[in-house]
Amino acid sequence: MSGPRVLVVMLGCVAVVLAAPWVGAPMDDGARDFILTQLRIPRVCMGALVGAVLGVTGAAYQTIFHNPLATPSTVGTSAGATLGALSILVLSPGGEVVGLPLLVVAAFVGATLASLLAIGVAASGRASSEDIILAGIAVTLAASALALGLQFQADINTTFAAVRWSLGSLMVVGFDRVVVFVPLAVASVTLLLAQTRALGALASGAERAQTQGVHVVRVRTICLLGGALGVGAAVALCGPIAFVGLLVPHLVRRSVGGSQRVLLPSSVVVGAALLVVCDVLARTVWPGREIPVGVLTAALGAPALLFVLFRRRTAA
Amino acid sequence: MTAPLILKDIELAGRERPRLRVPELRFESSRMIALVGPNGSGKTSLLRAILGLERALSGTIRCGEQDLLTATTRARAEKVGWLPQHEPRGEGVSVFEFLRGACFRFDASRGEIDGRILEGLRGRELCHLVHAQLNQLSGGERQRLGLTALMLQGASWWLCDEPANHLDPKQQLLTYGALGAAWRGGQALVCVTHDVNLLWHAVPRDRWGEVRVVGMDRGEVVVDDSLLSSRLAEGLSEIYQLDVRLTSREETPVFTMNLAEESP
Repeated sequence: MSGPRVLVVMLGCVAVVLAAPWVGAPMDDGARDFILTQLRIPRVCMGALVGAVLGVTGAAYQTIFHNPLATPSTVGTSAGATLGALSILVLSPGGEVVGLPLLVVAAFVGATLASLLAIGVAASGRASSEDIILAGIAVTLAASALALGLQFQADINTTFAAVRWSLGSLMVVGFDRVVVFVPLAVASVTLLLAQTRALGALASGAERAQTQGVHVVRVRTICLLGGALGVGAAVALCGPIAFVGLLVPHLVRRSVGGSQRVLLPSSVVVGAALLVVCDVLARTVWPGREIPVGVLTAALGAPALLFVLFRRRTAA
Repeated sequence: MTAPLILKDIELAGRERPRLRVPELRFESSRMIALVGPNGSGKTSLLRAILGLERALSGTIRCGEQDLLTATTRARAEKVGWLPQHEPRGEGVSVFEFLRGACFRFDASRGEIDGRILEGLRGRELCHLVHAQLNQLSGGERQRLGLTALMLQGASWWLCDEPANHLDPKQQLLTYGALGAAWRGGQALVCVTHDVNLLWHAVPRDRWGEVRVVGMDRGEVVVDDSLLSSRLAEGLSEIYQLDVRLTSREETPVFTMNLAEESP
């Protein structure tokens, strides 16, 4: 069994996350506490939470759609969240809804509406996983066009802020955003992990799982809504961060195996560690400057996507 | 005794004509049931209808008191289990996880389910595959694993869709032998087959008369006879549009099939 290997990988990931705040430019004694408690530790917490959500959502999506390229990005969840958040950034009404920043609510609504289309296609029963991915691509294209239209209408400062936001960044000061994100991330990850047993049966095929007692439409709907909740909040607070949801499940499968009982919880931990590592690189690789973490994950993710495609072609 | 499967007024919509039209059909567990017919005759559609995999369906399908068309997925999984034509290649799916899926309908503890799986693997002499991935298995191993999954699911009826279609002759005989043994052990089953002659090998000679052959054509049941019936060859000739005759080679009966003289 892969038990010891899982343990080693998990401990390694936890060690990476715990060590991350101390990696970076040397800290003056006077500013040390502020840098650690107000900048680096909140940032690592945010990165770990966002990475965990993206990792487990990618793993769940790849299983429910039987497609190794399924991610919040390909199903339309990220694009919907981006459009929702950009609408607030550009139209700037601000405010709160049920105690949550409007930005988060708008991103969640956008992510949910985009996911609803995938849910609708999935609920038709006869849809293949390819149909759902194609629907997601259509939603992504439409949402991107609307987002560009919104930016075009805005003034130059707002457009610049929107572009900066859309690059994706974990730069936070203090724990305010982390506190907002924690319950949403926990709810999202819990919803997805609660489907582990059903996802295990779904891994052998949707129709097979249905004849074994799995309510396939219900499981797909719960996973899409759980993903929309976490990804929507993550996009609202940090901007879109690409490729983590794609990359993490593949890394986990290759390192500790593809069983859902291992894949889903491991994707939480590996996703957290991966995004924290990317963020450490983003703030240290260019001394005195900072690269948006979304740019770095995209730079790492694009060759990873090509690698997955290449492996699938050679396997076929 | 397993409750019979009773289909009534089943109609499955198709583009030009119904894909399936079965006014009444009753399967009793006391007979091993073979569904035969040419490609597109409705055999697989019939199985999928019973399994709840077809949507545009009207009519009723009952197993005992349970209406399978309105039952929950778990309740249906208790009544009918499926052995598909092709077991999934399942990239990254382990044998153990595949078999855990077969136990989904049970609310037993993880340890208890793992124990049942190990017992099932031992029973089929598949213990050596316990750590294997599905995509590492041969076609024969995958089919034996599919039978193990059916056994673990413990459904009242097994619905097997051409279970030996893609296997070599030895594995075909082993698969039908295993299905016949399960039926003799009290398992109710319906088996779609393209090779009627494999049925001679599924059960011993003294039980050939208990094998019921249901022939389908254009979505309707047109033949319903015992394997030993003298009329069966004539019925098979009609649905396959072939010259089918029952002959005997060294005491093992064989349906020979040749193109009928009027065929092009």
